[in-house]
Amino acid sequence: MIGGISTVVKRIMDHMSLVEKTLEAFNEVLKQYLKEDMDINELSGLMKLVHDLEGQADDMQEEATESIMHSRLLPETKVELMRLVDRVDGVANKAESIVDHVFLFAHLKFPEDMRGQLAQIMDITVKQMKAAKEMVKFLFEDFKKAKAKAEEVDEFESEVDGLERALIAELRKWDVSIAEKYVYLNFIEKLADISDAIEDVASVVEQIIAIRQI
Amino acid sequence: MKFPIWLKSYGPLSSGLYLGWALGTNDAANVFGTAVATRVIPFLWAGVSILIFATVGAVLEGYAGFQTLGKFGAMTPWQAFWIALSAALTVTLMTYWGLPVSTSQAIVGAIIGAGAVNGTLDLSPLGKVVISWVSTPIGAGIIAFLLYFILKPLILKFSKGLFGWDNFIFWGLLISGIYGAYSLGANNVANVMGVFVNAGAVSPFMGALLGGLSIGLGALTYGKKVMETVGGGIVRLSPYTALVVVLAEAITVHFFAVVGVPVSTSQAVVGGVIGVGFVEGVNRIDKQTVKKVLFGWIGTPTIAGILSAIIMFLVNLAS
Repeated sequence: MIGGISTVVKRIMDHMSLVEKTLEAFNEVLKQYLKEDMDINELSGLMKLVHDLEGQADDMQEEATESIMHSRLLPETKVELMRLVDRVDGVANKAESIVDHVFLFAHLKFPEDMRGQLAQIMDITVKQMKAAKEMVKFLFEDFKKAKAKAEEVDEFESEVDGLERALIAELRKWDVSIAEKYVYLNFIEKLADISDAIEDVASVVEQIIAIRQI
Repeated sequence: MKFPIWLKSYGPLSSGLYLGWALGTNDAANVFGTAVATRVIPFLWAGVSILIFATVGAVLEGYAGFQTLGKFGAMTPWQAFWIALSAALTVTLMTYWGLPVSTSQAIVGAIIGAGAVNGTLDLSPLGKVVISWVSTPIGAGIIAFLLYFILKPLILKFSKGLFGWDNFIFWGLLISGIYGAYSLGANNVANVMGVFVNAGAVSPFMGALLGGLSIGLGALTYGKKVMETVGGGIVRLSPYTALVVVLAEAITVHFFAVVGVPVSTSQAVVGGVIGVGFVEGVNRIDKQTVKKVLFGWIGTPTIAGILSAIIMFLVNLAS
């Protein structure tokens, strides 16, 4: 009875896939960036790919929002789904913002052990995004499974949080100027912010479920 | 002046049909208000549902109310006309002045006022009627309180995901709205045609049919404006809360249709909203609304009674 549901689901999931691809491309950018012998041409190509994918995700967000608006879903559900799509898009925006602002300023030289931890943050974040995608798929089918996935997403964020704290503690020991420390700190925080943005998506899903279960 | 036979026979019904139309325009919001105002259900679906099911409810279960109103005393068809007109005028004037009004309470007041002037008044059914009026919001509140707990696990059991939930709420609102329309017709048709049936101006079947249709046409022709203006009738409700409230209201009003006492659907909605408020820990009803309900029990029949007594006195004087 409720019109256009399959279109709504397809577009929301397509949007999530594009955001996921954006993160995967961003992960490749990071890996290239952290290399001692960074290939600037390859890095530029990967950065362009992140921009392109983020642009495609924006277009898909519009299509998803349009399909939600024109469906015969309950008004509350429409508002909640539009908020969800907006939060998902925020994840890709965070990745693009690092590409835009941080990488363009300087090539930060992290020590090898910290590079490993930074790459680990991004690997976990990519896994977290996959879990978030499954969580949203389950939201449409089974609240219980969606809730379990949301908890998984939260756990990934805690892992990232631990790594972020360890990196900052390490940074504190460095014997460099405060200004330089701040640039490195900013990089670490921005990277960990992507995981926070995915956790926000899980929070929206948890709220959608909670309102219906109270 | 010689009136045509059809006018003599059916003319008195005009005030009742007008009262039915006015009732339909106002009470449509209590049945489908939230669903239409929030665009969950298109107005045309709601309007046509009320037209069909209010008529069906009136024809199948409207007779008990006719009998109760008939016990207040005998009357002629033209006396019935003036009584229905007094009730209609009371409803129109009080709505114009922004005062809360219930057709059920207006018609009883008008019957008592006219009966007092004509010397035919029998107050023996009044106790049952007043008890029913007071029990309406209380009963709806208790039913809404219980339904809130019963329905939610049921929905979550049969519809596990978001769209299953939406589908259940959509159909729930449509079906409870249809049931509400049925109950409205079954209960409130006595307000519209009770006096005419008891005066012998129309057969019970024809009275129920015409009364149900007039309520339905009121909803269909002018209900949209009222629904859009007042939204959920009393307060803005979530779709689930609206489902619980409408269902509680429909069950309560249907119960009193079986008992045979016309009651106020608006007061049943107020009771339902208070009931779900207890569960959710939210007080959506302010003191002003409670005062309005209390005024409805006392003020409406008093004003209708005085107006009807004055009109009947003048009519008796002129004839």
